[in-house]
Amino acid sequence: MIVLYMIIIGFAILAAGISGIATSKNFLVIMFSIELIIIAASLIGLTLYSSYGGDIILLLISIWSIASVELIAAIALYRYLVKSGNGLDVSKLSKYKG
Amino acid sequence: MFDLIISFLIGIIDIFLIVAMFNSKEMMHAALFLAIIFFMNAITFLVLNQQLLAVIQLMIMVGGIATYIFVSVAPIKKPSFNGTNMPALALLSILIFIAIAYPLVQKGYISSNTINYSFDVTSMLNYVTFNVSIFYVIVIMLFTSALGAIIIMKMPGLLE
Repeated sequence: MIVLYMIIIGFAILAAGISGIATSKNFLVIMFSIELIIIAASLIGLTLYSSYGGDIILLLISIWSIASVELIAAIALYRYLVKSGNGLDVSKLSKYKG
Repeated sequence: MFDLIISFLIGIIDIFLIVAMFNSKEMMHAALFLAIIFFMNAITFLVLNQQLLAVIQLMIMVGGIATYIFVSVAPIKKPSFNGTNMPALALLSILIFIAIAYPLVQKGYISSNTINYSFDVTSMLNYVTFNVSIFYVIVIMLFTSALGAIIIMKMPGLLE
């Protein structure tokens, strides 16, 4: 039963993360939504692996690495956005086209 | 029974924190809510009897990533535009959740043929051995140092 609960919590976090990316214009909120998706993935993965057997360590290390790299890249991009004077509104990103 | 109550509480708190995170005007507050969501995620690892992974998750997510986010978003002023469309967010979240969760629960992919967890307060306290508690202290020190540095940074006139 606990497995089902954890999976449902993971799905709820995943759904909120995907919706956050789709409905938000703030660059940082989109970045936080990606972090939500990443922790949902780690939670669902750990729940399934620990229930049905298997080694989760490599998958978790991959997830943690992706989370760190994504964050560093996103912070660098957001510093560039702020410095260029366009703020955090992603709807203005089309200015950079071409 | 205790583990079910804990997981139910974690789910409720997670949903409240996610709503608060999307609803925050200040990015610092949103980052703080995200850090608490990371912390709750580490507690779910503990509920799943993975105490070492819970500590590592806590160190990487709260001690590392959340601290980095704090330091990065500290200089940001309140954004002038409306960041998130909350009704659309709620509707889309519910739709996606039903679309993902309903087939899995309905068709019984998560069967009862799984490991039974025995989780109670005594076993949770047994996880916190001396070696592990050092890592908890490191995480708390890193996180509070970042918070304290940002509070000092935000104080008007203190660094001038």
